[in-house]
Amino acid sequence: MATKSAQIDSTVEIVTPENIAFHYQVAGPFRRLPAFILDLLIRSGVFTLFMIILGLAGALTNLSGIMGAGMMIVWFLLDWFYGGIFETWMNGQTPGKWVLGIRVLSVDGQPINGIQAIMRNILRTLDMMPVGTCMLGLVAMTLNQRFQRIGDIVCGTNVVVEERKWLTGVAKMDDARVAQLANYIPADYRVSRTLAKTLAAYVDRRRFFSIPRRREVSRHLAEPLLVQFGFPLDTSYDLLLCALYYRTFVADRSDDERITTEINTSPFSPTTPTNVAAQASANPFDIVQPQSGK
Amino acid sequence: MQLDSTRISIRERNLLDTFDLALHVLREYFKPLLITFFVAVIPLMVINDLLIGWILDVEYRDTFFYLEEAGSIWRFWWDMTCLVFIEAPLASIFMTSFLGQAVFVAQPSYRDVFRDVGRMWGRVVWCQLLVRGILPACLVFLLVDRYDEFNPTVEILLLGSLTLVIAFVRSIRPFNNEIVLLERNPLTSRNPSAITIGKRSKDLHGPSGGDLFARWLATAILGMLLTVCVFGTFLFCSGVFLNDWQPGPTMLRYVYPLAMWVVAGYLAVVRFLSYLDLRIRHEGWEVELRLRAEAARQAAKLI
Repeated sequence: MATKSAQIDSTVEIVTPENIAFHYQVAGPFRRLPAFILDLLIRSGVFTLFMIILGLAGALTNLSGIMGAGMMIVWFLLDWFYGGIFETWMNGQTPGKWVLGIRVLSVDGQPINGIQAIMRNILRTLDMMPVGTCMLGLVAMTLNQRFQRIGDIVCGTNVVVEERKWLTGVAKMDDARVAQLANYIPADYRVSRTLAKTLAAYVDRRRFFSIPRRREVSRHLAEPLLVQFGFPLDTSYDLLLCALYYRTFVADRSDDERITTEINTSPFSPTTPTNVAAQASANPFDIVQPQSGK
Repeated sequence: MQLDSTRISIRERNLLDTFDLALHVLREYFKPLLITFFVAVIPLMVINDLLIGWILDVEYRDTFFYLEEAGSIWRFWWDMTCLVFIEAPLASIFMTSFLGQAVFVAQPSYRDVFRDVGRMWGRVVWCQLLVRGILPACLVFLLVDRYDEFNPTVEILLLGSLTLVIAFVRSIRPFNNEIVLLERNPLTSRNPSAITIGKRSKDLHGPSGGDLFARWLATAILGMLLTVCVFGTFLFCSGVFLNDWQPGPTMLRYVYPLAMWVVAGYLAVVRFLSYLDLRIRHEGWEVELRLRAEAARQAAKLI
């Protein structure tokens, strides 16, 4: 059973009879277009090869009429069955789809069978109406959440993007001041679920931001938090959010990890060039110079 | 308005995903997008017809492609293509304002959309009509005398050069409408630290000029293909229902511009989604929205 997501997005949720939900990104007409063009090139290449072979054979054997018929048969087979055979053989993929990382699945998330594969490819002719403009298919795809063309609707299939999402673990905090500032956060402050998610999103993306941009972005949340915690207002906004992240995801997570972090930040731990500067200004409340940002 | 629960999912996408998502957005907001787009397009269609419609006012024979008539056909096709291309961003002002609201509000009102555009009207006139060459393009056609012979210097060289310059500017600075209508930066300011439209445009577009140009090129190719497909469909319908299979003067004069406008409307949605994508990639806009929403929640808790 599929449910429509509240947001406008190209992902659909498929819930299996075992009550397991999968999220798929469905491939729309434009995502499929390069795969279609690639398959068209392969088909044309194969047809050209057959044309040369059959043409030569016809010239040598004086049976050019039969060879002409052979060419038409080859064209017919390639045009009507190329997609169907490959999608059956390669579990929902043609060479073009394989290269572009998309796959045909049944609407319930199961692999497609041979009949579905062949039927949906034969019905492409209908989707390309009127006269090759593909408007019928495009309108059909626009009208449904799964970007199904008429061939897909008839066969109960859809095309999904095979994207592997990388799960980034807990972010490492190289700056020793983060752990120290985390200790100053009031012990009774409870981080809500939404705040934890927001902090995780910020820490995950902050490495891509310039230092002024970090300050701009973190200011929104850090300013009220500074007031709430009673910290000096010139505390680095970025540092505060990192400290709160550290408190939420590292310090409170397990004693072992905390001990490891403390060992690494002790005065006796081997120092790296990057944390020498950080340890030199160990006071977490100090004002960070403009070039290093807040 | 809760900033982190947007109606359109805010995340990084590639160009083809953006094109696909635009179809979903079109389906979801079909009626308001149609209304907001055609409110701006209909006056432009009338102006264009007044400027160049007379080119097709010649006697046509049974077969459309007579040699002496082919000149008028190609002339009209070229002029109309340039005009629609130049005017497309102006045509999408109400649509852009609507989409900007639709990201955060479930059902934006037309009154708010028109009021917002009205407030920014001076900046729109300056940025689109003057800087982006719509008024100069219209003035080019005022130089053309319909009773004189075809003058290639004006219609090919002058109009072509203008279109090329505008195309180049739009390829590297595509999100002018969004900056003017949604970010609402001032046109000029005496305060040197104020973020004016020009400064903002430079900051937003500058770091990804090459990427934006490649995207614009791909969008232009897809736009041309879509125009051919839409016009082909209209031609097919005309053949089936009116038994007229030739692209006659009526088809060319009214249906060809309509096909281009339909595609321009769709590409305006794509452009808006690309703007969101650029802000996500370069500015971490989705993170900023979440932080602002969380700050609002924290403030509410304290109250």
